[in-house]
Amino acid sequence: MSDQQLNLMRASDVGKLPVVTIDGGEDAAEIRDVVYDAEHHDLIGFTLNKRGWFRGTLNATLAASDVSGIGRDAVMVSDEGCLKAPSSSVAALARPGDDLDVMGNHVVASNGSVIGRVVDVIIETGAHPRAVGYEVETADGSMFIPSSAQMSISGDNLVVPAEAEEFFRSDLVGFGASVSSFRNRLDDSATS
Amino acid sequence: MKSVLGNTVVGVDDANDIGLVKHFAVSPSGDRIERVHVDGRGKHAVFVDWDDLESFGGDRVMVTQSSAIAESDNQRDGDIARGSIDILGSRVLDTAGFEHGTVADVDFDGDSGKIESVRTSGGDSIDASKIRSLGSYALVVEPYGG
Repeated sequence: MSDQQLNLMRASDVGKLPVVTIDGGEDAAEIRDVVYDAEHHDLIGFTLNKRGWFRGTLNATLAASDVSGIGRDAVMVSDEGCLKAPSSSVAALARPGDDLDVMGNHVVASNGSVIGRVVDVIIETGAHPRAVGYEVETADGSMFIPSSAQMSISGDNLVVPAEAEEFFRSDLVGFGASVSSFRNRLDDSATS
Repeated sequence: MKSVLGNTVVGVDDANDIGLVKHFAVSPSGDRIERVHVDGRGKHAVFVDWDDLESFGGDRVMVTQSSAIAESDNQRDGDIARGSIDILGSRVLDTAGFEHGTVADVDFDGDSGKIESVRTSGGDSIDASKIRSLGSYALVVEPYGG
């Protein structure tokens, strides 16, 4: 695999985006919150708001696997059937907030030094959206760090493995290539 | 399409003015013009089916019979008559979630009503084969590199 440039967005920027149907050109909902499994560093899906004059919570959720594309301007789904009642959604979507919260966790390097605090989750957009890292607020500004199964999290601290540290970046654009390189490193480690 | 808006619609059978071209009722899949909104508003909006048009290209839009115009109880036609679904001026959104301005004009086949291409406010030309749907929020197209 080459070190391809990925299209990334902050999870906080996905909030308020319209959910638009490809088969109808209608704005079926609006993203309210991003539901994220901090323990497994995995994007689960989204809770929704209604669109239009009578906005408010929509009694439906959108699983990440039902998304056709996330772009700068909209979250695209094939049709309104992708918006499912919480009772038929995966547990994490039906009861968001039950899991560990990663926001505000101290990010701790393997040598014990505190790097900063988690302020956002970074999502790879496109047809198969997934969480790829975190934005960390440090004393010197924002830092972007790739997520991996080797990270451990307690709800207070997020411990970053030593092998991830060379892939930290200070800008989101550069972080796309960094995530790709980091994945290649993990793949190489798994096969060697 | 834009140049035909406002043209007078005339019945071939009795030479009466029936109305004006107010809106185009484009199919949900965005591939063809199904009807033309010629008069009235809301529940009293009247349309003429594309198949009842005799000619479209000149100074007047000719309808085979004045009696061909009719009200529609179709919800989508109501939205079209209100202007909430209108291909002209519609937001252009690709299936990856990126906007490409709005629809500035539409080229279509004057005989069949088939949409041939869409021109955007940014100057892009999008072939009709890329169109996926037209709704009240957007004209959805496949990514085209524009």
